[in-house]
Amino acid sequence: MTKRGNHLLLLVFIIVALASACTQQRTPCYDPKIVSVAIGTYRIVDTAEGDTSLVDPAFYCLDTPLQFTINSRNKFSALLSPFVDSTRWVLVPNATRQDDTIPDGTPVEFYDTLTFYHTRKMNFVSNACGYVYYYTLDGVKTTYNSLDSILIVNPSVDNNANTQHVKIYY
Amino acid sequence: MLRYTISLLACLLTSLTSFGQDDEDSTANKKIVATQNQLSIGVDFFQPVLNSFSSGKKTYEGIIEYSLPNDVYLAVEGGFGTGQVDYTAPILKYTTSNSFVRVGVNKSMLQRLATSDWDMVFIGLRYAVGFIQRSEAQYSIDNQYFGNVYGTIPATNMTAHWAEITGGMRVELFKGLFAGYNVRAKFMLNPKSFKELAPYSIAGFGKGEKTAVFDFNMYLSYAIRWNKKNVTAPQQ
Repeated sequence: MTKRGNHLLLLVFIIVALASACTQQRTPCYDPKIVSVAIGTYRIVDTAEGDTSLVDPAFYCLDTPLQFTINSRNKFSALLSPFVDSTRWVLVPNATRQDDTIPDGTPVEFYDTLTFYHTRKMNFVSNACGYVYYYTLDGVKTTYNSLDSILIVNPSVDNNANTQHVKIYY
Repeated sequence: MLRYTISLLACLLTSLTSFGQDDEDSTANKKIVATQNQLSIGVDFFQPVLNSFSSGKKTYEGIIEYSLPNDVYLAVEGGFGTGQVDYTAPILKYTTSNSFVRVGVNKSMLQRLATSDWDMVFIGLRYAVGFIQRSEAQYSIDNQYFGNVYGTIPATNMTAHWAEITGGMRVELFKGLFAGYNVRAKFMLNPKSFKELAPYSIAGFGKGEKTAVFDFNMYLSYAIRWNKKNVTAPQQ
């Protein structure tokens, strides 16, 4: 009885100490919440496909109040609108050529506008993180001033950062 | 899940080892069996302490145990609780309340020292069901580029089913008055029911967004006994 009682008492003290260290606060959000379309640029050489690095790329959105540019050589991420079903992005393969003109003074259109058409679905991540929108790419429309073609390889856009969704060929 | 199970088994083995050493010499070759039936009613006295440390959840629970043959005890546990989430950036606000019932058995692993010895170290299994009411939830999805999205999710009722592996001990401090604890590994059986918005806290289970939870209870209980018989069976 005495030994058992001591055993119980020790456990009570340990648990009280643990409980004392606990106060309920919002747990930090450790789950990824960035949901974006991962885009890669490629070039077909003979029958093989390889990454192609653009010279001085700029990638920016036409539909956000806050304009931002993402610079990368061959990997881009496009955020999608949580309000409407399409989002427009502009991809400039060589931003240093923006002043190029043909001899009569007309600017050369060397950039392409990508319009992503998508549906969105609200997804509960956790109480700590709240909700995020996951998207399904229904299609993409583009100009072909610089790029050759565009392909949706995975239409499901979620918080998995290891998935590529769109390939652009030059 | 495996980690929880290993922790629980390690805890139980430690307890059983220490108590087993006490019992070897004193029992000789006799197995002493209970000569009375016992019904005990208890409350988890530690939950109110935990509640005082937590602003977002309150849980209260009790237990009824009834002795069956072969040192098996029928256990019926129940309780209720509330939860409140009031987060900002992103916004998430709702309240929950729920009641729950657990039913299962405990098997005492401790050999009796006397017919009046009701101390026990046990392992057990439970099936539990919880009935949850969640208020309308307000939320926001923060987006620094496109702007924040605000919305509400309608109130709903949900049912949670879970299973538990439990173990613990009971010590009779005074005649009929027991103190003891349960450690529990709990496994949600229908986690897909909470995909829309998992309750922050489910009384009796714990965090609703977890599929496996490790928990404990500390009980004070009072036992009543009857059907006195003078039975001492020899060990096989």
